[in-house]
Amino acid sequence: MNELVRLTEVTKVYQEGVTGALNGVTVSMEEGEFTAVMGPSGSGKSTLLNLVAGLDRPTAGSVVVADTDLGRLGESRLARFRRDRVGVIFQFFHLLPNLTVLENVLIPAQLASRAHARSRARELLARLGIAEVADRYPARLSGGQQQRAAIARALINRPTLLLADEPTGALDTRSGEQVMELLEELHGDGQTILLVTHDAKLATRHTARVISLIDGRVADDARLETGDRRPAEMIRIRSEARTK
Amino acid sequence: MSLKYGVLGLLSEEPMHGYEVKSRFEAMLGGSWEVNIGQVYATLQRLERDGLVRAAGERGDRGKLAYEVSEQGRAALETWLAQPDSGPQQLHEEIYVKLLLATRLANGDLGPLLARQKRSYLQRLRDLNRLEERARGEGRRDLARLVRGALLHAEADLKWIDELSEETTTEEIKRR
Repeated sequence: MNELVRLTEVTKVYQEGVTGALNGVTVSMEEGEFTAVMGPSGSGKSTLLNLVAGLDRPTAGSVVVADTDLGRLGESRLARFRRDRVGVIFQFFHLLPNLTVLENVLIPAQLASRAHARSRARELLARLGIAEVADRYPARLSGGQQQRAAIARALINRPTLLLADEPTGALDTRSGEQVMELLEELHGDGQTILLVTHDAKLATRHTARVISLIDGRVADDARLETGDRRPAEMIRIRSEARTK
Repeated sequence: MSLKYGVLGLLSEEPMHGYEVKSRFEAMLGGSWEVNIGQVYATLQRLERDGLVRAAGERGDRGKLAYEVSEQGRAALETWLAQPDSGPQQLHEEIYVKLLLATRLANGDLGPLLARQKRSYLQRLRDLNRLEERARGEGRRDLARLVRGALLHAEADLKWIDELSEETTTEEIKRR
């Protein structure tokens, strides 16, 4: 597999010592990987995502995504990188309230023709199970539907990398689970995904790689196994020796 | 203790012989508790001695004897079911001793120990997630509930390790 993202000795310092900074982070991700970044609040996980998305620049070190060193790009080329290469979804969806779902999805669309863009948008909405709300305004949608609309918008330009910052944080358990299942399906189709979450149950359920950040440093980078163990190897209600 | 009531509870559904009790008990717990047949027979004998079960009919093929619950057994089962679980919180002891010793031996640097433990808890979460999914897929809602309990415990263990790691990192930064 090819390397898609590489952070080398990345440091991000905020003025006034705000938390969430990064301190010498070196980490890479391969094409097609579904990686979770975990850590307590203020550990730097959203900062890391913003740097990979080209939404922010490091104070030191380099961020390379799809062979492009983001630090070397000027503002306009960085904006083009964001539009063409990455799709981002956030905890609170960030849909524009005065546009319909379909119009929201079309915002980043830079496809050859408008008709082509609309057909791709409708196709995505159908695939994400929200075709019927295409002409509604976000306020009339449930949280789960709004997040799916945001996913459609993130995917409209077929991004190399999908970034998800606490995508289930504002959803009830069931809608959150559905959104995660969607992400897993997209991953199954080859989409590279970087997920930021503080929910370990969710991360380990859907991803096989978990990077843990603590105080802006990588505390652990775990590649988990996906084996079918016997129940008795996973849960021991009481050992035989102690049973009376 | 719970094996005793587990056996009693299963026999309250219908009379069974020892081997049936063993396999039904293990199936109920989704394979998370493997009992040996000797334990089951010993439990049945104690229950019979205490008047909570009795032989149901004569010995069948190959000398197998079926047991059924007595009135006294049914009452004991109901009393047990009505009692909340109490007693001290059970903790897996090894990691606590390791932590205490590591603090003394490694001069307070717990980082590597915590990172390894964290990885093991993450793997546990992943395994339990799959087990829960499997139980749900097989329509075993009762078992999925049991696994859910284990999952939440594993999550708490992980939070505890994260808290310790954060504390350790902060102390380390202060020392510099």
